[in-house]
Amino acid sequence: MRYIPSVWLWAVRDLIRRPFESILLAFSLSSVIIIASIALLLCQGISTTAEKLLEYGPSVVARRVVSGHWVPVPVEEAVKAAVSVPGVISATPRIWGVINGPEAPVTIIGYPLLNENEELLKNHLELDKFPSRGKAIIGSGVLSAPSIADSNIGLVLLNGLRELKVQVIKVLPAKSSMAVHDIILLDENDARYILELEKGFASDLAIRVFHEQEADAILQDLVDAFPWPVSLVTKNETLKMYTASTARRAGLIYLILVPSLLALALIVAVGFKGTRGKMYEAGLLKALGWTTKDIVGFFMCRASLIAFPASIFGMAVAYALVYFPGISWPGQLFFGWQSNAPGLYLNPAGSLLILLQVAAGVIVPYLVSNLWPAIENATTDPHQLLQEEGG
Amino acid sequence: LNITAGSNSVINNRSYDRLDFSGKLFIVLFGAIILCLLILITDIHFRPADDLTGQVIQALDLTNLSIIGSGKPLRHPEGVITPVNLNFSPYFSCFMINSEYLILNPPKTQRNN
Repeated sequence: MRYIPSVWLWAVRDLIRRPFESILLAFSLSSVIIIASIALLLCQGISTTAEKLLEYGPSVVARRVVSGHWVPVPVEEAVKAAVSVPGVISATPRIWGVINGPEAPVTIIGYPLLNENEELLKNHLELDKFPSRGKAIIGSGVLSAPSIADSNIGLVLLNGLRELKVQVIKVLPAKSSMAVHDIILLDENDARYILELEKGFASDLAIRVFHEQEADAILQDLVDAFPWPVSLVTKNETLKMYTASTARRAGLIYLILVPSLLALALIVAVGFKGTRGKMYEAGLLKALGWTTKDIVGFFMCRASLIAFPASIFGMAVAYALVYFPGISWPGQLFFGWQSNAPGLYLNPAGSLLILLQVAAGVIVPYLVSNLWPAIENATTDPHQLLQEEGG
Repeated sequence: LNITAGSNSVINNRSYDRLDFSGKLFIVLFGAIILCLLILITDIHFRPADDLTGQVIQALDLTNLSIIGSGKPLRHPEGVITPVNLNFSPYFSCFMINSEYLILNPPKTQRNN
């Protein structure tokens, strides 16, 4: 023990004298850090995840519009027009639509896709075969447990512009639910039937450009290239929409921090009063030969022994609650998610910064609340301290 | 009774000195903090990036995320066709069970008439 400075040992000894008080104080500090960090980490996690995932999507989506609503695009003509614009490397017609599913709106997507994409899907979604007529591969959120227990098990009624009952042949893995939670993959002809899409027409066109930065610059060229009016949505616009949505939600979440601040104020007051109330002890120590530096050091070590482990514990718990899979209640509490939280992408620098900022925001006021009375105690005449406290 | 010379708090080779216990507790506390920090920083910096979802988005040419967590009730609100009943719950109330097994292996007592 000779390697440990004695002032730390005395501080630990002092904490052991009132173990429940010390544990309770540490727990209170941790709780404030956990609540504040979870809210901020979740917002940041969603933003980062949207940003990372949307990078994989097409640069621009072109949708044919007439008098304010969208209409199917003729595939051949649209693809020819899109690829004629310099900078465009591919234009993929998409057959998709949002329709009534068995429980909630679902997104149907019609096959076939491009060959390279089929291989990608086969590998990543563990598919051994693609849906044929009357068959469907569904996302993990399309059917819930009560529907599965229904007598029409395995059959899903899809209600778009036309109705169709399809047989489920596979449920997509939940780990990719951020992309396919509400998706139903169908044979192209089934999707066309439900959406009333004629052969040779598609819902819209997914366009990829060579340089992502060029996407905004070639919008006018794309508009000019199509022989009919089109509505173009870029990846950046979608990303901005997600960021704005998260920021709006974050604004509401920050209200949660108000009670946390009140709790922090209470903890600071307790810290201040606790150290102030140790006048007799300080006087005694000073009378026994402790210097002003020793006494201030003792009180600060005592406060640090509560604050630092509490903050590290709080940071670790908050991090685990947001980024470890299988934990659902923070999402339910802050975002109203009704199932397990999606796996969020981590922004290492940002997350660490948030955790450190929150921890500093909590422990610095607590340490300061201990420092001031500690200096006051250490600089007062010991006789006066002993008299005031002991009578 | 064996009291060690030089210390009046070691009896039968057992320390009754509070400072001795404080030292041990300090070491445990310090070790726990360092371990916790190491785990935290290691996990933050070496967490493997899961590109599976991104690859699926690329393969399906998706432009929006589907999950309820995005705060968007629908994938493409502007692309909804008229008869879709949006009065449904905007959230998918699904339970995390192995639905694939139940769908593909229905109980034998159930019959589709």
